[in-house]
Amino acid sequence: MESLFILVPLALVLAVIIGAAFWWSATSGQFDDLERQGRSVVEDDDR
Amino acid sequence: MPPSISPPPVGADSATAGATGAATGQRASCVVDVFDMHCAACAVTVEQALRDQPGVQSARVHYATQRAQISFDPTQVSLDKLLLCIERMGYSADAAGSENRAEIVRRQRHRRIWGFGLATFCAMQIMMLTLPRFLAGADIEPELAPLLDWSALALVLPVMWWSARPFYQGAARELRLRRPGMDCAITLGIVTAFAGSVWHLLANTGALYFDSVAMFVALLLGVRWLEWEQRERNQSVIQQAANATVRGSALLVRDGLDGVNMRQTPVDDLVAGDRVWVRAGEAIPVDGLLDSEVAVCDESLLTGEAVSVRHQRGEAVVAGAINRGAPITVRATATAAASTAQRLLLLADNAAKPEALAFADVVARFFMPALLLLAVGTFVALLPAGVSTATERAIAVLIISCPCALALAAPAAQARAFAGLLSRGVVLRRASALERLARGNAFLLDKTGTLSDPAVAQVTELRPGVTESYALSIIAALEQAANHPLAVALRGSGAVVESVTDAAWLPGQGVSGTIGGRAYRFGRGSYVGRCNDDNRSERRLWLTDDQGTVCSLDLSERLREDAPMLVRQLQASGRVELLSGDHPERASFVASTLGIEVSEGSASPERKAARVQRLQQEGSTVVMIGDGINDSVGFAGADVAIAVHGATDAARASADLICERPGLMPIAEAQIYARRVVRVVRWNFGWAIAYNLLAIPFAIAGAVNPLVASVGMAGSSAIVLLNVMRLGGDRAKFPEPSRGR
Repeated sequence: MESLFILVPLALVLAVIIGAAFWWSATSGQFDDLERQGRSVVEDDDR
Repeated sequence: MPPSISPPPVGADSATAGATGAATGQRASCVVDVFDMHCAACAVTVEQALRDQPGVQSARVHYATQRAQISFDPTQVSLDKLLLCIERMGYSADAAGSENRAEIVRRQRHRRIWGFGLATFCAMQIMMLTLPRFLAGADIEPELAPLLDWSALALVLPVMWWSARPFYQGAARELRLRRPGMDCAITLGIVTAFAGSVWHLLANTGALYFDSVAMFVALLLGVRWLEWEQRERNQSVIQQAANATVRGSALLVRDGLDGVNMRQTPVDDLVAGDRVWVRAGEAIPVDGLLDSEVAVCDESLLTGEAVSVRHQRGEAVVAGAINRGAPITVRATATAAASTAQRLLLLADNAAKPEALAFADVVARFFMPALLLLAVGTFVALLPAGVSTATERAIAVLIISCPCALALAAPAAQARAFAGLLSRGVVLRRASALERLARGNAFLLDKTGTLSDPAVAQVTELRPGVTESYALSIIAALEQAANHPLAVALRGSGAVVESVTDAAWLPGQGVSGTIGGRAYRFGRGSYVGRCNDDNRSERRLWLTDDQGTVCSLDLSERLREDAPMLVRQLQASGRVELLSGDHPERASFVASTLGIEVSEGSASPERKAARVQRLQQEGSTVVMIGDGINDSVGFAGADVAIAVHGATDAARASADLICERPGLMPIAEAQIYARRVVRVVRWNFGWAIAYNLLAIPFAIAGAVNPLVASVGMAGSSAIVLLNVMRLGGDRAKFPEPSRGR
């Protein structure tokens, strides 16, 4: 059970890192258009 | 930062300018985007606040378009100050039409994704930490418990700080307006549960609600985000309709020393006496008198009459009529605001607001006090048992009775309904209309443009030896010269293979030309030299050459294919009537074809509105289906107004539902769908209320431990959401509503 005293704080640190990564992806527009990229594969024009 | 008022964009097309800031002496007007209004009640309060500002002459806030139209005295108050005034109320504002709007919407979306994602992520982490705590109960190692609890606190802090912020802001806004609503209830629940949990943690006694708080915030944010996305998507469709009416510019004609010159002028600035140049195909901007020799106007928007009207010099022309002939000049007799089309639009807009206010008031006056009373009552009643117990029970009551499921019951279903209807090709503009559509039992249908497509010709008489397609191709060739709706339809009916020489067009009468050395005339009986021998002559056209009649055409309307189906379905739910601006004979003919018993022709807009009122007085819920400006007065009064595909801007602007898919099928589907939504919403409300009524006594009695409280609360919301999912959204894949019509 002692391992939890290291693992839980470690999980918190990990959570902060993930949170920061998510903050970046949300505010830089990674979720703005979730469909276009998928559709671009089947679209005709090469532009 | 909001820009200051720009000088009037003289010569520039104001449709491309940002704020249509036009200062004329002591008067300036502008259009402003207002963000974050989530009900018509908000629009009313913003409007009130703007009007209270010194120097503001008039202010109108449209909730549907999220826009404010303000005219003010620039010497007394600046645009910056007005924007600040709106921002002080807790909304954000920006000059309309600017690039900023897209940017602001983008940033709002980012904020929502961040808030929702963060809350969901933290809620899941907290669950991981608290679950062993619940399961182990007293068996947990004493040193381990604080570690898990304090970690949970660390994870709930970002949720409280970032994710829940919209609720605090909403609550602050509601308090400032002295109308506490859902945001207040939610904030109260979150903050009390959080503060109580922190206190319990410090005192090392009682239950912790961190997981419930995070879960609660995450669920609510998710639902609000979904709803917001739908609203933004609808916005672009509505915006189009509004843009066409809120602003625009006209060509003002001035007689200068160097001859006639023209200047682009905002329509709002036109005054009586101005001469306006109207290009072919353009709508006449203001009521006026015709200054050109002759004009052919398509007034079907105003009168429902499909046949174009011919006007002579000096005759009155109405705003909103479309010039189908050569360019004309019109001498304005009224300002744009006073002109027919505008008047109808304003009438339609005003009818929309009061109901949302009423609902907000019910929540503020009854729900919030009841909730507070219950929590405080529990606390006071249990005080003899000790402060700790009393606090714990009061929090339990607040948490468990927090209107989570109740708050989700309607909006979640409505958000789903937005998406569901959109995939069926229908834009839902007022959520409350769904309920009324579901119980609608009187249906008023417009004819031209709704049940039928106008101006489709049928060959009735044909000279022996001439094929129908040959006759049609000659007509199509002749009609190249003309420019009116009928000509467009006729051009489409035959392939143009012949070339025409010395073509001529006498508007309102007919066309003539020489094809293959033979002189043809095509038009009304009087034009081709045939007497008007029967009462259908108005609708009969003749093609003649030097030997006499080649063929005759009957102008008829073609009933839309799905019209009988729609009428049958509507008749199953109530009475169906046909109200048309067209000739009574035509109206009753169409009605009898469709099996509609009551029909009325030559119905003016006012007459339609009166009929709506009469039916309402008889206790019916009136659903009106139409497409023209002449329907929009009736639309404003009707319980539900549905604009069919291709409806005019005026009709769209005042409709509750707008069809973006051709045909009448979307209406039939919308009715069925509305009933399903209403069933689900009712079920949700029933469940949420039953859950609260059952759970509150248990909470007061202290029979609810943290596990039951959080599972119960999250569970009740989840059930509501799952029930909504049952509605199903996307039916047949329908292409995105086209941006242009």
